[in-house]
Amino acid sequence: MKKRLKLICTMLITSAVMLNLSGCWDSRELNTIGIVSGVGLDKATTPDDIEMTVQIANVSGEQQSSSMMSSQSSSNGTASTGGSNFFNAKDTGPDVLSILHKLTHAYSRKLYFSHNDLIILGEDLAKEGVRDSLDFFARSYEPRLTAYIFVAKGKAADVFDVQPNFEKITAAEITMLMNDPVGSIDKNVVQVSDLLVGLISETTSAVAPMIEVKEQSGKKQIYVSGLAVFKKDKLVGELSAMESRGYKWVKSNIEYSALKVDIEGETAEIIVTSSKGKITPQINDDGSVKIKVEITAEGSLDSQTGTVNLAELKNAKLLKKATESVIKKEVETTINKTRELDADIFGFGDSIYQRHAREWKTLKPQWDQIYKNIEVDIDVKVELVGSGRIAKPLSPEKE
Amino acid sequence: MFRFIVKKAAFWLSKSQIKDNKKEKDQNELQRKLSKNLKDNIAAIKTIMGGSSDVVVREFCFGPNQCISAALIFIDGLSDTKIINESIIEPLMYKSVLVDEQYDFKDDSIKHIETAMLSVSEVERADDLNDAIDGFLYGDVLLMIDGANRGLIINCKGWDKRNIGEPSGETVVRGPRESFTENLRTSTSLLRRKIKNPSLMMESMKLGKKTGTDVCIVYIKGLANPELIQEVKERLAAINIDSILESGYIEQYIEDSPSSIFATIGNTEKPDVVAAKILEGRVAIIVDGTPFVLTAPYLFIEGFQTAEDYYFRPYYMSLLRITRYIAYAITVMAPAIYVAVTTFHRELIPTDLLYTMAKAREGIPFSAFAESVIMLLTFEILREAGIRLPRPVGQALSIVGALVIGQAAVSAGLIGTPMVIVISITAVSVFVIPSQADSAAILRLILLVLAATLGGFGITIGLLGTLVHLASLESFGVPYLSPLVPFESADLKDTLIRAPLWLMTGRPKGMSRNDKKRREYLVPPAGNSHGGDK
Repeated sequence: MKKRLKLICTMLITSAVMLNLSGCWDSRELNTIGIVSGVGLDKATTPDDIEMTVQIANVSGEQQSSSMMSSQSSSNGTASTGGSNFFNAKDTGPDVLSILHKLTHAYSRKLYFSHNDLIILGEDLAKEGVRDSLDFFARSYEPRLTAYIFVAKGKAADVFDVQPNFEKITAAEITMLMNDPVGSIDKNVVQVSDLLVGLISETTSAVAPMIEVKEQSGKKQIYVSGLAVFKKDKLVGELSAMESRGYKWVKSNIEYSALKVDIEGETAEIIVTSSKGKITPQINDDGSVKIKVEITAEGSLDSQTGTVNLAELKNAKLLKKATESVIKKEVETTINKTRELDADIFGFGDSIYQRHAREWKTLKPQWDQIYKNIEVDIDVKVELVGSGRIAKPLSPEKE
Repeated sequence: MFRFIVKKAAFWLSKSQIKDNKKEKDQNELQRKLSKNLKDNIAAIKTIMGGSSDVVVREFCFGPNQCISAALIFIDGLSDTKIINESIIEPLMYKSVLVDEQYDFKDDSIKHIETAMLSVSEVERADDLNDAIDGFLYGDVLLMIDGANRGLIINCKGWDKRNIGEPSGETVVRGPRESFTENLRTSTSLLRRKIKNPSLMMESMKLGKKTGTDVCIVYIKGLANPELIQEVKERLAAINIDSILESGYIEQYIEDSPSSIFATIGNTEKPDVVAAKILEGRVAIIVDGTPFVLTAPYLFIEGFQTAEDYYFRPYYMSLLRITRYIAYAITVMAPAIYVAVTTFHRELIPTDLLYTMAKAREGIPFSAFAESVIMLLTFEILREAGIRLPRPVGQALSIVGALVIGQAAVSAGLIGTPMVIVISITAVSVFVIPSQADSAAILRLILLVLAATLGGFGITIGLLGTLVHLASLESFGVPYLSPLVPFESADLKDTLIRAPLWLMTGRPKGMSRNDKKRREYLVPPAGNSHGGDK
């Protein structure tokens, strides 16, 4: 009995000590963290250094922001407040972690990255290589791999200075912009994980949407379009808005996006309700590689010009053909452009590696050359399912 | 660990029992037979009663020439003096005059008095002093006659009792409004009126050495498991206690796991609930002096069932049943989850919500844990004060409570608004499952501490521990979590949902081992079957 009592007492005391003295290693109150909503990485003026801009949600309102402002004077970093809802903390250093350490000297709260939905890479930094800068975002447990990644035309820091229109925080506005699946085919959504796949792969080139700050009637405005193309981890070129469409047709699922199709001198607008791309590599007997790209799309007529009834069966077939050729042409344009850039953004190489690993060993060393002249067979299948609320164009009937 | 404490307590208990036994021996001396001498008997009773002022001893003579002296002993206030006057004294004094003058009082003539002279419904005999004293202590009248070595205990209980009222703890919108009362016989009559069946058994026993409380075991013969009845009787008989003032005294002596925070014996003050439970094969224990009747076995899911579930149509009631489970989860876990999520797992909160919550926590001097403990404590204080306060002051309390907690604490920046919302929903949810409210309050606190130290991991540990504990519990041989664990698909009709009554053909399997079927076949309502055929 006594022994048991002793054992129980020991267990009680140890558990009590364990629970209390070990502390709550991960515990942090909400009012001791600074919620980071966006990160910008730029090349610093000093050589080999990077400049990091961190957009922090200012949940406590104006009162807090003024005290934050006063604290920055002591550090060599600079901060600019973009109104009361957020402020941008900036500092330079050789890598992300050292900058974060520096920021702890200036800001009273621990920066919290789990709700960071946005990473913007400056153009100059992207050209020099992003591998080292992104290591923190891939390795640390806080940042999410689902954050959207962008390459800024110019400096990333400038994007965060733009005043948001709807949301309270600029970064949140950009995130909302990308969250919405409905929209233009030009808008490619790339997350950190996608970019990392590109960085890890030996042949596939990573892409990231471009973001720029446009001046609209005296007001700064964010604009997302086109794709930045990486080779290894360096920015090598850009795809224009038109050229970036081909990427989306092949690589992602399109939902509710408008497509303009020319037919018999008139234009029709097709709403693509869903589309899917599939890449199948083939290795011929003579060792040459052929890539088969299959795109299946479904859509409906959204608007048209002229008086020809495109909903009629005969015309609808024409419209379907025309739509298919438009998509095919867009994909071809993109592939040609990437051949110029010498960047396999579609992951053709990886698809061969997955299907034909043995042959890939011989193909890999000369992949750059092969890619330039690779035969791509594009097969587009479009299904048009409706003509909208009216069956006929708004014109008197022809007799 | 709890078992150890219980063992230790049992040891101390047995020690004190040994002393009690010695006292019993002294009492045994008083258990001697009544003598033939009336004067001796009265003197003996007077010594034992110590001249209490409410003991009335009425000595009188009857028979031809008033040759037989007798005495009536009763407690003032417990017995109905009208019956004593009209049904005992009057026949004895007037009718006995008519008896033959050569009347010789013999031993068996007390039988004659019992059978022929007393116009009272219930008469018992008492051979020894103890029975005699018990007789008038329970409200009857003791009649002793000179020359007879036994007394008669004549039933004329008639004390003031409360009327049958509405149950204060379990209010219903639809269903019977009557409630058990403090009077045992009123309570049993309420049950008898619900179940007019000869197999409804009521077995009485007296418990409590000092209080001598009447306890009644109620069950339906042939429906309740005989082993269960035997077990209940044995446990009741094993109770060694001097006083029983409420059924809670008994509950704490016969429950399966006294060291658990979960009750394994149910209580209710509604006769219809008890009727429904004994019709499922349970045993009810009615204790004199309290309207709260115990039912056993008591399962975890019973806390989520209400009488009204069966009186209303099943569909909305099923929704309500599910709501009750959700409310229980909320009241147990809400503060813990809030603390765990805000201090450990901020990444689980949607970004916009995080901004809002962070904004609300801005400038609050306490940690989320301290905040929730303060709020929970305040709530418990307000609740307790609300119960203890005299009615007219109650309103002032609710105003102070609402103002202090709801308004002032938030606007002063002491407590965050989300915390007020969390504690409010926690507090309101408690009242949805009143019978599990006590365990929920403790569980909530344990989970809160675990959440504050270990986060979501701690909550998981706490919930798993609770689940293991619940699965280990038993109530009178029935697993506490049944029919969920062990799984009994037929009984699920009355667990998470409340199936239509015509679908519930069987009684709960764990309880009724003999008469398992309510009906032989599934009997859909009349309209249903006709509609289907034609």
